[in-house]
Amino acid sequence: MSDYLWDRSGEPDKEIQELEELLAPLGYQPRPLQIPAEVAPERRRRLYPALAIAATIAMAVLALALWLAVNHDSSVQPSQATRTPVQSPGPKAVIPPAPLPKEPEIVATPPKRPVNQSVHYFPARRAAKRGGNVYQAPQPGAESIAKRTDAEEGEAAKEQLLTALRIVSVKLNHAQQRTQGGNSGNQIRYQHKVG
Amino acid sequence: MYEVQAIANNLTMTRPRENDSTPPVATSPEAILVQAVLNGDREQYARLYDQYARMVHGILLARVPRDEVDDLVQDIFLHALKKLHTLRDGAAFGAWIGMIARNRAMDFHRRTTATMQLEDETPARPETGGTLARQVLEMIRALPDAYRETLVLRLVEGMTGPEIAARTGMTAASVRVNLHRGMKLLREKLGFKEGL
Repeated sequence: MSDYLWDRSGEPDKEIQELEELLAPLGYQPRPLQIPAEVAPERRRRLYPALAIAATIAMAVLALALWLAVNHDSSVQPSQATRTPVQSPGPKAVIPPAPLPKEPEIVATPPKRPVNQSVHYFPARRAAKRGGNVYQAPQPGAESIAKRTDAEEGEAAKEQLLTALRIVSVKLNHAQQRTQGGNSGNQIRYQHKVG
Repeated sequence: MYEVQAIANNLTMTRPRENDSTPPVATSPEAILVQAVLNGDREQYARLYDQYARMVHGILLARVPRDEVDDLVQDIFLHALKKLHTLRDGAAFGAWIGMIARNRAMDFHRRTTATMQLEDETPARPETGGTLARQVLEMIRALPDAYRETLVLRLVEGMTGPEIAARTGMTAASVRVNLHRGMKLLREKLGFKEGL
């Protein structure tokens, strides 16, 4: 193995020397670089990570609000509301919850509309609007329908919430990667895309 | 094993990293110059140009017609100056600008395909004094990518093997393998016998 080819040390190789002499005129001839005044290195763009973080926070707040809304709705179940004495607002006398009247007055009636149209059914709220402190005995059919629809709504809301949380998680990971500056081991490989 | 590692490094055009946890050396001359340019000292860029223009010239000469090379070298350095902020490790300036040069050479061929076809139809020019050199250069250009670039840097630009490795970011082993294999192929094309 000739050292001359590697670093021009050792005994010169005639063929390589000839090739060098032949090809040298085609080589680089020093020429000054003329840089126009308007050409300057661009500044680093730090806006994108800030935007990503802001978007992530907004998504997190949105997801939290959605979760709170769903949680609030599901906490008021029709079956519980009908068996709790509703207190009217104002300085009226408070009626103790027990004992229950033997023959409760039925105020709320089951909806006459089709079953699939029943979205929100809160008989206790309606009664409260009328100002009555009454015990409401719901119809067995209406209660089961309301339970079923609320369960379906709950499931749908839960899925929405899970989807939102997944999106937030992905956004957070993305923002974290952006702020950490990525893997330095791949920088040379990726930097060729600049050209 | 030695050659496999060298070829892998050559294909990825990266230096082997001894330890991934070690941060990039920020005190290399290139890193200091790059930082100075980013801080507004444009004169330091001329020093980077002086150090790397020969390498960029060689990379281009291995791929594009010689008449176009000088202008392309200027364009590449101006483009690199604009995009210098995207270079995270200043010590990798040589590998970075080398990659820009390779990409620019590919772009040149994409854009000038139609022009080249027209030129091929024109009658051949009378031979000039530099024809033999150009013929040899064409033979080198016909070699595989890795060999032709290394051979042009060594034989045309006059750089040594260690210098090629330091400038391009390739390992010394890769450069050595490319030089010797490329030289062997070139000798076969030129009709020389091995070892003469």
